[in-house]
Amino acid sequence: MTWLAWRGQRAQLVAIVAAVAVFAGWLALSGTADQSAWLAVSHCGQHCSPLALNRLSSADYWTSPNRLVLTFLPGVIGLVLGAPIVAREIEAGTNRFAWTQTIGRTHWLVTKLLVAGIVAAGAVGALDPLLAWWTGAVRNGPRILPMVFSVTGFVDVGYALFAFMLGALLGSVIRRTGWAIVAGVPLFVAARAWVQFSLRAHLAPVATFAGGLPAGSMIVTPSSVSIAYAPEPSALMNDWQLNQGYVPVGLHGPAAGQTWSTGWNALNRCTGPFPNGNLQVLEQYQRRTQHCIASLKLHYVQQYQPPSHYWRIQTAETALFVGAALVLLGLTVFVVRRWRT
Amino acid sequence: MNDTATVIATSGLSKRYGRTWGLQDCTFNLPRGRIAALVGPNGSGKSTLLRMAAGITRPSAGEIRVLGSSPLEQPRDVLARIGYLDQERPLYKTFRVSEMLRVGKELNRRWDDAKAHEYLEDLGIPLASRIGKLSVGQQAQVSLTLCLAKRPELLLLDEPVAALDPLARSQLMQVLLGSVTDEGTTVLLSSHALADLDVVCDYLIILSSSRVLLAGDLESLRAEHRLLVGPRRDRSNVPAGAELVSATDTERQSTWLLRAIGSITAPGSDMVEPTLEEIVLAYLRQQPAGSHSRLAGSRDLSLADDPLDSGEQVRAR
Repeated sequence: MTWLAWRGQRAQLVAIVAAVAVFAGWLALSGTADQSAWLAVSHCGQHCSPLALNRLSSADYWTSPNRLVLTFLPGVIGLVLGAPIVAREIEAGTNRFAWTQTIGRTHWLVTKLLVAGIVAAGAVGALDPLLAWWTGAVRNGPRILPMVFSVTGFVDVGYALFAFMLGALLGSVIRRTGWAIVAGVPLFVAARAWVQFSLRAHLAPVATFAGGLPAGSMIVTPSSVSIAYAPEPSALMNDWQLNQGYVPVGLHGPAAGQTWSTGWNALNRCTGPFPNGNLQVLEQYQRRTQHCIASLKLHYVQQYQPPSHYWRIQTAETALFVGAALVLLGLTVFVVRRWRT
Repeated sequence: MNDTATVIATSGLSKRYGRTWGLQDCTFNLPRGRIAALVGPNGSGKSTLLRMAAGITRPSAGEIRVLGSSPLEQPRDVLARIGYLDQERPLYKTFRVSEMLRVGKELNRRWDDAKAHEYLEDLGIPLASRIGKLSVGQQAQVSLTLCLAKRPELLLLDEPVAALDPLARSQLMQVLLGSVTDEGTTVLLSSHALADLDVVCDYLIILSSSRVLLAGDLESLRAEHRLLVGPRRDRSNVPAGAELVSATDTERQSTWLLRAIGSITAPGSDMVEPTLEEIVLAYLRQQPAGSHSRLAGSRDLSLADDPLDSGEQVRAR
């Protein structure tokens, strides 16, 4: 049966692996060039030519089109390989052949899912060591940051497996490969976005920074004057910052029934609007702010995920997507076992 | 009813597709070792019945037992012992013939690889060919080979010879017959090729408008029926002891199918034992007054479609 599962999807599996290999080659080449662009700038320092500096804009992780490709790659591979597993058989009518042989439908289905699923997960997972290097080469910054987190580590294997089973389930319900992929894209994006923006921050205990330098410190630069409400110690620069604001002294977050804006609003009511004026006016405002913070019994708190939580969150998020994939597997088995004309 | 003697037993078996019936109140027993013809116009429920026997269609009501088990609830017990050939003869079109045989081998515990190779060699179907490149007739042969190599106790064949030319048709029937007579396999076979069926089959089930019109041993059915051919007769003039099944009257001639136990006579007309084809056509011509008139048109069309089906006479109303 393993042979049939492989033979039935051979062309598609080989095409996907080849496409991933080509993309990996491109990443290796462009990454090497980008890395040398950064090295060149670090050597020339103050005396860099505009050309050398200009080169950096295309060598940067945050502007790289590869980043977009990598964000969607696990989903695309998963859906494209998963959707036809059942749908293509139903489209061609071959399920009426396969499901009237001695082998049980569950055995047949699970073998097909295992073979294609391993290829999907393998193709995505094989990129991971390369991505660890590539993201560094294009200066990705802290990998705990959401946009970096999702294309590093091994969480992409979880995404691929989830998309794969999503495609397989939709294919068995909709019974059309094309429509299953079309329906799968928004569902996959929604699941990924929900986890990334709502759930991920809570997959490890949130770290808190409280207090620090006197709030309301003023930062004066030649072009602008701004009030920094709170210090940002350099250590925090590598963290994934979640929430910040003023909360009652003794708490590490808003009090029950309140939000982060409660503290900001209370403080703004006390200090009045931010003034336009000379340095003297600004200094007055700064003093007023410090006075308000003290009288309102507030303190500055910052919530964040430190880089040390990276692998912990990677593991939790991967487990989450793999768990969801297993639920989808169960549903697909149920749908296929029930299928009758 | 004895389970070892009965291979397919249905009672009140029905399938409803939305507001129309695919099969309605179907009850019959197919004894072991028979080669049964399942005939009827398109849309009369043949495929529905075969699919329910193969466990890929869920009955709306009634019961079907195949080899003593329910294909729906005990598919393992049924699927290992049947060979089902779907109407569309689905095969993996991009596979080579040899790969398709390997599929059969992987999906079945009982598999006669030597026999499968022997059939295909006899038919001159190259193992290295892609399924999609084979002719329709060769694809049908590969499909049938996949069924036969399972060494099934029951073969369910849904129009195995449809769309085949007469030569391919007779070749396929030969392969089928050669295989099943050796092993005593029971066959339920749907087809529009009535002339072919007469040679092969010894049991007859006629479906029309999703109902069973007639089911029974072909020899007994032939013995119970007489075909009256002679000068035009008045329809009130049915010979004593006989019942008129249906009549085809032209201006000069009457061809009637009569059902009668014992001997009947009609002076001036020939009285012969009808062929399977004549029985089938006579029963399908029966117009169940009013009730199924919606399907009556399509029924005649589908049979007239196929030039080899019959030398259908011009009918005067």
